Amino acid sequence: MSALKTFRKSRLATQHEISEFLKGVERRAFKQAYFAVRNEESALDIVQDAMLKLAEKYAAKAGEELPMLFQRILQNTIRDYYRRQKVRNAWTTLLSALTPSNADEDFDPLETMQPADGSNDKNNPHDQLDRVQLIGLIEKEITALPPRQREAFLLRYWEELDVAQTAEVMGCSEGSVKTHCSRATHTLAAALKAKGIES
Amino acid sequence: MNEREFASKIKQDLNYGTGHLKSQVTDRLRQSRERALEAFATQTIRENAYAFAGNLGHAPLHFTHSRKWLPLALIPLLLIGVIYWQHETNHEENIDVALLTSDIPLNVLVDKNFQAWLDQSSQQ
Repeated sequence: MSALKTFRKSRLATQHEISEFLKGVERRAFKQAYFAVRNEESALDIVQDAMLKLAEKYAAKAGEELPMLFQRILQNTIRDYYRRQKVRNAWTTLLSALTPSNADEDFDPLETMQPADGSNDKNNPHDQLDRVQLIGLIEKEITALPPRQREAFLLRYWEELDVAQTAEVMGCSEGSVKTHCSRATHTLAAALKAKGIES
Repeated sequence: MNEREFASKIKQDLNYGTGHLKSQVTDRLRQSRERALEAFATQTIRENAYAFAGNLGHAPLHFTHSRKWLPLALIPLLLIGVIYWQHETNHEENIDVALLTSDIPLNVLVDKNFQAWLDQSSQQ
């Protein structure tokens, strides 16, 4: 087998690898983007942009680098969205500062969820409903976290990056990551306890 | 319950939530993934073409390297070409000068009989 054939074979394997990677990460990526921007269409656009950037610019990277790279791209794409929104809405921000904001009240994480169909779930409908409502509350509290705390918490505990990797993705020190994670955990625990959910 | 255990419970609930996204969302995510894979395939073909052109079937070299060094590799070839062309031009000029300054009349050189005599003499 020529070197070129070997090279092509390894590229095809990587394509399969990238497909499986995206399949595994896409739903969490959507939720991360949704927690950050609170808009379903924008969150889907952000995930699509991040996937395309990964595929186009980092095609030659090894498989084990994909999780870190994708998280970095995703977080940067979310920040870009914030920047664009900031410029676009500069004048409305000024006006909205004069009136009480009710954006948090309008936001309902349950809107993005469907009740479990029950085909593979052994819980009864009442338990399922309880769990869906609990998840809705958790997601609402995660959405309400300060952006850096939310980012650190999700990268560290949902995406399972270690402290050093999280720090690299966020562009901050490992100490800052630990502080953000600790504060996010305490804030979430206190918020859930206030709603009668004991951890 | 410590931070890690608490986070682990939250993670379980978040994962449960991602398993029950609306079909419109999962469809859009699938379409995005397919678009990304198409872009990946296009990029791979382009890089393979560069690698093949740069190495002619040998071990792959990243196209950015060949693109950077190819102009430098062409400079010596260009210089050799210029030197060869100048050498050939000078050689022809020297022959012309030698012919014009020799004692033999120019009419002899265009005479076919003289050419035939020259060939015959050289064979003998």
